Amino acid sequence: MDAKKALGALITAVGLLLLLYALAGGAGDKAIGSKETLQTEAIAAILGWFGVLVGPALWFGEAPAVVRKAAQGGGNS
Amino acid sequence: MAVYAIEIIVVVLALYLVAYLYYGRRLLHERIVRARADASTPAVAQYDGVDYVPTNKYVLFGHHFASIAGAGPIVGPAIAMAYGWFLPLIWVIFGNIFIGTVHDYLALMSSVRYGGISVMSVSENVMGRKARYLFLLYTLMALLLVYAAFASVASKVFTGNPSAATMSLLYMPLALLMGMLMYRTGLGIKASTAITIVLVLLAYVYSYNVHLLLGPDAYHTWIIVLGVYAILAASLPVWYLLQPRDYLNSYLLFAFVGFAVLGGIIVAGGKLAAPAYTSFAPNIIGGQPTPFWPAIPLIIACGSLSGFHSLVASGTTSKQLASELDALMVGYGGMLTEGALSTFAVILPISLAWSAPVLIEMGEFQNTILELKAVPRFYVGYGYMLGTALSKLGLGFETAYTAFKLLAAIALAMFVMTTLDTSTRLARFAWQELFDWTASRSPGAYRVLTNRWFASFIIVALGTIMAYPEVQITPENVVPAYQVLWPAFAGVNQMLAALALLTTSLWIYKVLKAKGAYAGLVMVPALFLWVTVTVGLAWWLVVVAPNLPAVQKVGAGGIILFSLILNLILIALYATNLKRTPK
Repeated sequence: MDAKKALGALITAVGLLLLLYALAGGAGDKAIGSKETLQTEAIAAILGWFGVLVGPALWFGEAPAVVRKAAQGGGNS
Repeated sequence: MAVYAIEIIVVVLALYLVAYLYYGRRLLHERIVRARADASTPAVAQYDGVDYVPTNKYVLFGHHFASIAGAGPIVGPAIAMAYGWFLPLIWVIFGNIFIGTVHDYLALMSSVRYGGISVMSVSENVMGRKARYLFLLYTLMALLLVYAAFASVASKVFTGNPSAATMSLLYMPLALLMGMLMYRTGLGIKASTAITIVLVLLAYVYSYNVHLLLGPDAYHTWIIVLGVYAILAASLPVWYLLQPRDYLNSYLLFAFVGFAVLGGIIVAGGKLAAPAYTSFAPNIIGGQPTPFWPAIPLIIACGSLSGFHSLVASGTTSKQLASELDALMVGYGGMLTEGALSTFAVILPISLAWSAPVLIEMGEFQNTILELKAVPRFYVGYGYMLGTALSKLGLGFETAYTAFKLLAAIALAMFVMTTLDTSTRLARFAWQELFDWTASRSPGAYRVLTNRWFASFIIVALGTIMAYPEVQITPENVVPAYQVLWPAFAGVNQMLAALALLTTSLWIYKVLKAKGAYAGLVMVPALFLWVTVTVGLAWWLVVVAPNLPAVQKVGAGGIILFSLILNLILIALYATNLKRTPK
């Protein structure tokens, strides 16, 4: 696994953990974060969200084979 | 004369069917544009795995439809109900069939024939280089305003309705997961969709119960969070997030419209309670008497016609079209579906709920639904129609009413998020095309300026400057900065529509050699729209602008004045280039 893919896998894993931590905490409290202060749970949720969005893009890299094949095959659907 | 819901449904569906088969397929698609199965599209010829990606037509329909159906097809018709139901319905149907669909389809196909460039750049081939750069600059400014407005609206929705925030937090990763299942596991579209829809329903239940709260200054925190999101979403490859997310959105949209049609059929005996006609000039824009003509395009945009659609069609959609034959369903069908959304999910429900005693008893309004602002007017109307329909099937009215009101709110939140990142991507394209002249003069500068991450960052930064700070426009009224310019947006958007339709009408006349009645099919609506929008903007400048707070009078008034001047320059270029040999 090259460095870019390893970084993507790491970001995805950390993102997932942060997101799950926030979601689990939210399920107990009926809220992720609070209106009074910007809490750790809410920050974890947002950072985890970004991690989950961007991590797999680095991890899996280029377009999937099925997408490339559509381009090579003339694309007619 | 009493009019019933079922009559409207039957007439509108019949008109749309005839429009699709005859006007769209036979005349535009087959006779004028002559779409070919064997023609290579930009998605195939210029495949880059990021923006140019050939896409299944159903997935692309989902993207196109979800992107053009921002808040516009909902808010505009809801506001226009002040005319009664008849005039808004007429404008939606005929504007849609004769202008909106033609505009969207031709913007898509002209872009496809010129390698996926925007309709602004297509104008160079028929109106010259000056026209192209003026048009691009104007569009970029409009898109920055769209970004600022939607970032602000989304932040307000998430602050005021934290369940919608939780849903968005879960929805995007689920869309990503669907993309992974669809493209990398070999599960296929059907199985991937089924799995994801089950997960989305679970996410909905979770979101209903758990609120995402971002502290005491949630509005400004959301502006920053959404800015980062928009940079990511607009820079990542389309197949990665945009396609699966919008495909998933299209199910929400279809469910949303489908429930409305079913609800309308179940309450088929329901008489439209709204008056067919109230006045030709009720007080609408800026609280001033607003004549139906020429002001209606400034009120109803997306449900009938909208310049933003030409940017989507010639921006993201044209770069993903796998075959020219798909353009009819995606470009023409997408716009018809949007008209159906306005008709069945907005005009019809509000007409039914107009002065419903049960809503008065529940305290939603005192006399008529017009007392509510446009967005709650839509929620209440939609909830009422479905609540009434399900109560006929034995379910409690209040339970169904509340559930469908929430569905309406979630659908609106999802459309807003889609428009936010699509507008960022489109602004990036406009920015990249605007600086293409640097490619030969300074390749290094060109690479930096058009780098997709850098360009998206610039767009979001400029949009955030308008969405983040707040300004005092009257002693009692503090608003986000973009609202200084926002009153001009409807005019700017429809001016874009008129210019895009003029450009494409010239394209079919000069390049496709459409003559006589075929040319008239596009040129007459284009000129009608141009005259209507030009007179509408002049009316706005004379009647509405003087009554705005001083800061908006200068900001929004300046933009409209600039639009009118630009409009005259472009029409002059249009006329002088009429006989120019196209490239």
